[in-house]
Amino acid sequence: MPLVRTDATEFTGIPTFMRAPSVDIEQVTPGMFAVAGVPYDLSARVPGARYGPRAIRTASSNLFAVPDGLNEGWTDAESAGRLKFRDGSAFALGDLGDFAVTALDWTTTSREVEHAMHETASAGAIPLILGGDHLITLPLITGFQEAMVKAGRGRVGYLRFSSKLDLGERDEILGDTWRGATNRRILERNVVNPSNMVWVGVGGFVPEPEFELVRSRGMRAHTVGEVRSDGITAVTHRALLEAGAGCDTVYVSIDMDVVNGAYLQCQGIPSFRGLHNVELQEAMNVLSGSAVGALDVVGVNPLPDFWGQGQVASYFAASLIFYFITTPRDCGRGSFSETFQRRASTTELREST
Amino acid sequence: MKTDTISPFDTFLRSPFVRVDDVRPGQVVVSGGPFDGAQGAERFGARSGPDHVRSGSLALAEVLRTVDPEGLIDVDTGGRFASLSDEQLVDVGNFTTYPTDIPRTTDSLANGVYQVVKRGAFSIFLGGDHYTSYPSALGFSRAVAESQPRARIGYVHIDGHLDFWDEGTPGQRFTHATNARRISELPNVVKSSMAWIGLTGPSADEPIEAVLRGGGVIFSARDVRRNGPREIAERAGDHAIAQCDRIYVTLDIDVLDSGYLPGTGSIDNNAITPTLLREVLAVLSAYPIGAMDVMEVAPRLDRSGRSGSIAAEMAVTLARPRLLASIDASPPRRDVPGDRSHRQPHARG
Repeated sequence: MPLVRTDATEFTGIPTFMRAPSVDIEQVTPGMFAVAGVPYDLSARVPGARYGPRAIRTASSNLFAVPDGLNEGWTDAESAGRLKFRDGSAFALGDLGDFAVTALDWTTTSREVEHAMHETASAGAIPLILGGDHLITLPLITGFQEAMVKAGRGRVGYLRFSSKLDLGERDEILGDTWRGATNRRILERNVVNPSNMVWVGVGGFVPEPEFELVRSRGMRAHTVGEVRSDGITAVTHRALLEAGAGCDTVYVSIDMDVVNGAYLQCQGIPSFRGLHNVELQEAMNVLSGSAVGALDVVGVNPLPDFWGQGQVASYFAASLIFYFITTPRDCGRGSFSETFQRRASTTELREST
Repeated sequence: MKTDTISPFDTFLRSPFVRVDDVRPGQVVVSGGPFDGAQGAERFGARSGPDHVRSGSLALAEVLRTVDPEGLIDVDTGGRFASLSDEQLVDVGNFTTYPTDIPRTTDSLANGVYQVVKRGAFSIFLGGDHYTSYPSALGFSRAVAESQPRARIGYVHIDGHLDFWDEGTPGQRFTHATNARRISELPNVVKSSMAWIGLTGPSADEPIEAVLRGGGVIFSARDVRRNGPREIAERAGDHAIAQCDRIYVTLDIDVLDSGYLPGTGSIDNNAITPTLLREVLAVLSAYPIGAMDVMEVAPRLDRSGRSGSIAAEMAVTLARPRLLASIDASPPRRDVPGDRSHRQPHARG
């Protein structure tokens, strides 16, 4: 009998993301999906996202135990297709733990997170970042872009799923660097060409100057209304093309506030015009089949979401990342049973010949 | 002066609490199995499901018990119904469960449902983790075998998952992931007359292959969204009744998307909405259902309490033709073996 089992019930063991091996930066290999948390939330209106990385990891234990594999014998109910990790036998997932955060000092935190992201990306990994409030995207994309420049792939696109533009100016209390100005600061640092800055899921009220800035600088914002009329898959494809035009790689940031507040109880400022939760999962389909070089999921606040609310947001965030690291699902026209049986018979045919 | 009191505990739709011995033929009987010892996962809590669904039914009770000679109007269909009577619906409470003893719990729950069905009643059994569906179906199966030895039972399983593992975890044959498999092995259940509605998320191939090999059909959540709840419910219902006389329906509340229903163990984020589920159940309700259950409501995961209310509403939707007498012009539902009146559109919903 082994002393330690990875396939035991989900409340046992050390909760790394999907029970992946705990790795340090020296063990990161090129192509590896490297999970790291950034437990910082002092810029949020409602604090608590500092507990996001742990909550997402705990919820992820409910998904698959990575060491046990997935490549054989699992089906995705949506598409009736085979469920596989990306990159086949080369698939690797490691959990770096949390990047260093100095709780009360954004300047230090920012520098350290930027450095940690730089190191992770320089090692050739695809960083999967668990937030944290959405201000953390600023040092993350900065560190990522620096690493890409050194690797000779410095043209980075930026795709953000968010109900807000976050192109604000100075805040009277929080100063220049605060969550509502995240993308303004990214713009000013010139880490991304404005025409490669793209939003999906913008809805509700947006300050006029921010929208005007998007127009004048050639950035692109795809609204909830556009998703309603064209479908999330088409809009995500479009947005990814725009973000990646002329670029070597794309950084994707998912702010949980893009999801309609009726589904998730984790948001500081819930929007009730947001995307359906199913739509964001469908968007992951498009992202998982593309050349996205880094992903962050921010704005998971487990405090209002904990036991009494079913921890829905933490589980949802974990499943988004799960669908990002599995192969895209090809949802054809057939029913579940037809598609599954057709797939099974072609597999048998292939195996018998 | 007369003193008015009200029951200190909640029964389903405020129905009378009776002993099983006092159940009469034709009644609808609610019972519970407060047990989640076959789940073994972090998100437990379905042991509190039965009482929570009862509490959740009270708002609905206000409406269904409104006494009015004109009856109640279903604004979706325009149909009229008599209000709920104390003769039609009773609650026998919860059967005894043994938290650390699955076989003993199985015997207790199966015997309870057996006693209800044996008396000619329609059983609504409230779980419990989904394993408790197996004892419920077992009790139903035994009672049917006794009264109608030749009767065959079809099966409709509404759930985000198949629950068709042979062994849920290695060596475990009696868990909340094996209940449908165990039901398929009952002597009067027809394996090829089993239908699943609502599958979502990752699912292992082995149980899918076992279902399809046995002649069962699976409709995913996506099938329901794309083809519509009515078509899918009809295809599932027709499949389950084609070679059978009665259908057993199990409803795992986790068939609903977690955005609507957080209070359950195995939540899904790509599942169907309550509106779609209600339509599925309304269509199925016109089929000759022999017994049903509602599973996996875990109130400690949903402080808002809506999970219990939704589960209660869904239970009433599925049982409605048996709960509320129709007083409009449409012909009464005939619930006899071999009857195909459910195929006529007017009898639906």
